Amino acid sequence: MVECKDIVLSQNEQIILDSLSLSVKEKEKIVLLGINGSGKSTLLKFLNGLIFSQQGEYRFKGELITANFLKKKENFVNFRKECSLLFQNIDAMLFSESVKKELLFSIELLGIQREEKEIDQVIKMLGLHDKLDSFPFMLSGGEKQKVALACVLLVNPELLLLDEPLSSLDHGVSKKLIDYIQSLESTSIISTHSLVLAPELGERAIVLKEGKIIYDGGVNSFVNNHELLHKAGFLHTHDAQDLGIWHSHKK
Amino acid sequence: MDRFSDFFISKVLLVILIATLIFTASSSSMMLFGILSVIAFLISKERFYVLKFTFFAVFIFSFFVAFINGIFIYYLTGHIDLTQQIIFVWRSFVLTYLTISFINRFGIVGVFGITKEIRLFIVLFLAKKELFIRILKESYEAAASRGMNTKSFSDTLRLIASLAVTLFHKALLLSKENNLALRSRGYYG
Repeated sequence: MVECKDIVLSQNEQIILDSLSLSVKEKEKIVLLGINGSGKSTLLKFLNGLIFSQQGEYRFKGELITANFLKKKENFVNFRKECSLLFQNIDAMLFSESVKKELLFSIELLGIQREEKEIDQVIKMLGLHDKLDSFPFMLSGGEKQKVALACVLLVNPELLLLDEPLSSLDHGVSKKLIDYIQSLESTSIISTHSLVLAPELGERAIVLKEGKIIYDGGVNSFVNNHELLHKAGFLHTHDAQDLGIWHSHKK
Repeated sequence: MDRFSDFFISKVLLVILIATLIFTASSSSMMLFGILSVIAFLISKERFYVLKFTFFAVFIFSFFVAFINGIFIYYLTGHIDLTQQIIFVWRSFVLTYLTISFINRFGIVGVFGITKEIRLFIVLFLAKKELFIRILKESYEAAASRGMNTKSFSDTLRLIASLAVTLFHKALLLSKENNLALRSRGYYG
C-alpha cells in the first residue's frame, strides 16, 4: 500500500528524514517509535501528502504522490478520502463553531456517505454526546483530542495516520480507542513514545532516530531488547554514586 | 440547488431587513416603533435574552446620548423638546432590536449570506483569540509562580513585552499547522 524509497526531507537546512525507505502492506498495524525530534511527526505529514521530499519517491497504492499530483482536485479528494492524519497539535485541526459541525467537516468536504449509526458509534466511544453543541476551542485538552480523533475516524480512511493519539486521553478512553483501532480494517501507522502502550497499538514497530529507521520488526522484540532500546534513546544509564553502581531503567 | 436557494433566501432576508431599517430610520411614528418592537420580540428565538441584551446595550446608551444632546439643545435654544429626545431613543432602540432579532432568528449566515470562507475565517479568528487568551492567562500564572511580582508595573510590562514575541511566533507556527491541517482534512480551496 505504501512504498517509500530513499526519502530525504529537509526543513530550514536541517535534514529531518534521511535516506528513509519503508513499505507497508494493507491492513498492517504499525507503531512508529522514537524519542522527541526523531522525525515521527514529519514522516506522518509526509505520508499524508502535506510536505514533500527533496529526494526519493513515495507511492501510495502504486500512485506516485507529488505536489503536482495532489494539485488536481480529483486526485486530492480521492487521496484525502483514503489517507487521514491526526495531528499532534490538536488546536491546529479544529475549524468549526460547534463539535457537531467539526465532526462533519471532512465528511461534507470530501462527499463521504456515513450512516447515522456509524457516527453515533464513534461519538459514543469517545464520550462526546453531551459536547456536540460546544465550541471546540472552549473544551479541555483531552476533550479536544477526542473531537479531533472522532473527525479522523469518521473519514474511515484506508490508511490511518495518528500522531500521539493517546497523549491526553485517560485510561478508559485509551483502552476503548485501542480496541476500536484494532477492530478497523484500515492500515494504521500510530506514533507514540510510550513503550508501555506500543505493543497494544500494533504488531510491527518502526523506530526512528535522527530521521533514520534504526529498527523495523516486531514490537515485542523491540521493547524487550535492552540494547535496541538504549540505541533508540529509550533507556539511559547513569552513575548512581551513592550506590556505586551503574544502572539503567525504562523512560 | 440547495446552495442557490440558501443564497437567494439570504438575499431576500437582507433586502427585507435593510428596507425595514431605512423605513424605520426615516419615521417618527411612536405607533410604528411600538409595532416593530412587538414584531422584533416575536421574531427573536431567545425572546427575553434578546430584549434584555438590546435594552442594556442600546437603550441605556441612547438614553445617555439623548441626555447629553438635551443639555446642548437647552444651552443653544433655551428649551428642550422632550418628544424629540424620546423619539431619538425609541428609534435607535427599534433599529437595533430589529437587527439583533433578525440575526437571532436567521443567523448571521442567513441574513448576510456569509460565504464558507468568511465563516472559516471568523471561526479561526475566535479560536485563536480563545487560545491566546488561555496562553496569556497561563503565562501570567506561570510568571507569578516563578516569582514575578504581579503588583509591579515594570515586571508586568516586561512580561507583556516577552509574551508579545512568543505569541507572534506561536501565531505563525499555528497558522502553518492550520494550513496543513485544513488540506489534510480535505479543504482544497
